[in-house]
Formats: sequence, C-alpha cells, structure tokens
Amino acid sequence: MTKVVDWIWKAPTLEERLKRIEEFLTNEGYSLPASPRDVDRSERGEKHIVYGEVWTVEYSVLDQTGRKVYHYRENEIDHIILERIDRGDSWAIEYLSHIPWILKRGRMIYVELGKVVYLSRQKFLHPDRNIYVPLQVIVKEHGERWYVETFYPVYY
Amino acid sequence: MKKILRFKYKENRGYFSLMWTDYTSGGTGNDTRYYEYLFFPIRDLVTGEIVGFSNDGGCFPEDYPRIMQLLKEHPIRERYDVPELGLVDVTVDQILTTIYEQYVLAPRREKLPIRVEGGRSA
Repeated sequence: MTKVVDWIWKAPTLEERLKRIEEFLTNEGYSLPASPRDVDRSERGEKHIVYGEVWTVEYSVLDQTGRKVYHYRENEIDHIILERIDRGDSWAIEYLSHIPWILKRGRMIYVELGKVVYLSRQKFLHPDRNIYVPLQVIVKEHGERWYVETFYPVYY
Repeated sequence: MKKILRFKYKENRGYFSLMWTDYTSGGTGNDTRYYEYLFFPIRDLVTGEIVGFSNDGGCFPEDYPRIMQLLKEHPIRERYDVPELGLVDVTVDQILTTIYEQYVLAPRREKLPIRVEGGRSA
C-alpha cells in the first residue's frame, strides 16, 4: 500500500488528502466513516497543540469513567486512517464512527499512567475474509487533555 | 529469503511501523499478547503469519527498555531485512536497537554541547 499512501501524502492540505482517501476507499468498495452520534461537538474547530502540532477538535466524548476524551481531525486522517490503509485494513475505517461507543461501552482492558486501552465488545465483519474481528482504541493524555491516539483491528 | 520490512518512524510521537513489503492480502490485526500494549506483532487475521510490527499508542524512546525486556521473555525468532536501516538477516531485537540508536540516541548526541579544551562549550 506504500504507493497509495505516498500518493495521498503528496496532497498538500488535509482536505485534499481526505479527498484522495475517499477516492481510494470508493475504488476499494469502502467509504469514509459516518459522523458518530452521541458526541459533544461544542468545541469543534478549536485548536490544540499536540506533539508540537496544531490539531483541530472534531468532537469530545465522555468515556465510561467520565473522562473527557478529544478526537482530533488531523490525527484521524493523517495517522489513524493512513495507517489502516498502509496495513491493508481499509475495511476498518468505516468503523471509526464506533470509537465513542467503544469508549463508553467497551471493555477497559489496560490502564497505565496517561494511557488507557479499550476493546470493543462487538466483533466486526471483515467483508473480504469473512471473519469477525474486535477493535481496540488507545487514548492517551497529553498536557492535561485526553485524546484518541489510535484505533486498530485485533488479532486473536 | 528473509521478509523485507518497510520502516517508518514518526519522531514527534515516537511511533514506528515495520511492514512486510510483499504482504498484499489485506486484513491484519495487532497481536496484543505478551508486550503490554507497548509493542505489537501485526498478524494476518486468517493465517496468523507475522506481517509487521508497530508500537501503536506507545512512545518508543520511553518504552524501549521495557520492550526489550518483554522480547527476552517472549522472543520472536524470525529474521528480517530492513533496507531503510541498512539491516540484513536480523532479529526484531536488533531492529529495535538500531531504531533506538539511529532515531533516539543519535539526535540526542547531536544536541549535546561539545566540550572543547579549557572546559568551554561550543
């Protein structure tokens, strides 16, 4: 998938990269995730500094412990989605909209200082390989804020 | 012939990815056993074959010592080539050590002030 990812990266802006991602997913028979429900969009568009970069709030969500977790647009597009494409896991991208649900209702399976791992209770169908796969979300603390760091399918 | 891994490192977040260049099947998953969510073998969801490695959600400069400890307890015997790192026929431990030397220690060394004769910093 290197060539595809390189092609997406050559687009100079986030919006153009998103367009290329959408084009690629359409060709593969997938689509971008639906906008998640039951999240707080009151801070949408606000800018935070994370890893020395300016990231834009897409939404925030309260997890099952009441922890407020931000989800950033740049991290979703440039890290989570591109990593999934790079590994041939385009099918999982549609399930990005399940992240809030996993944080609220999933199993919290690992906790350490500044990092929590959640496992979906549901398994999701990989359409080409006809198997059901659980998904994990890792949230991390940066400064005094928590955010969605990554999201991936789990081998078990 | 060894599997060739394509290497990628995001310095600001201490993230690395090593993916088998010839893997085309699609459908991978992180193997979450053994390595405390600091390091993941990436396996084909159906065959279980290792097709790469990553440290999703981790910070490699901080996690490196613990990852190496865990790899001693749960070794991965397969050997790989990683052209971007100049490595041929090496174990995962050797790959991670090279990443640590080249992408963590070397930049730190460059930032250190150079002591010159007389004890002044350059």
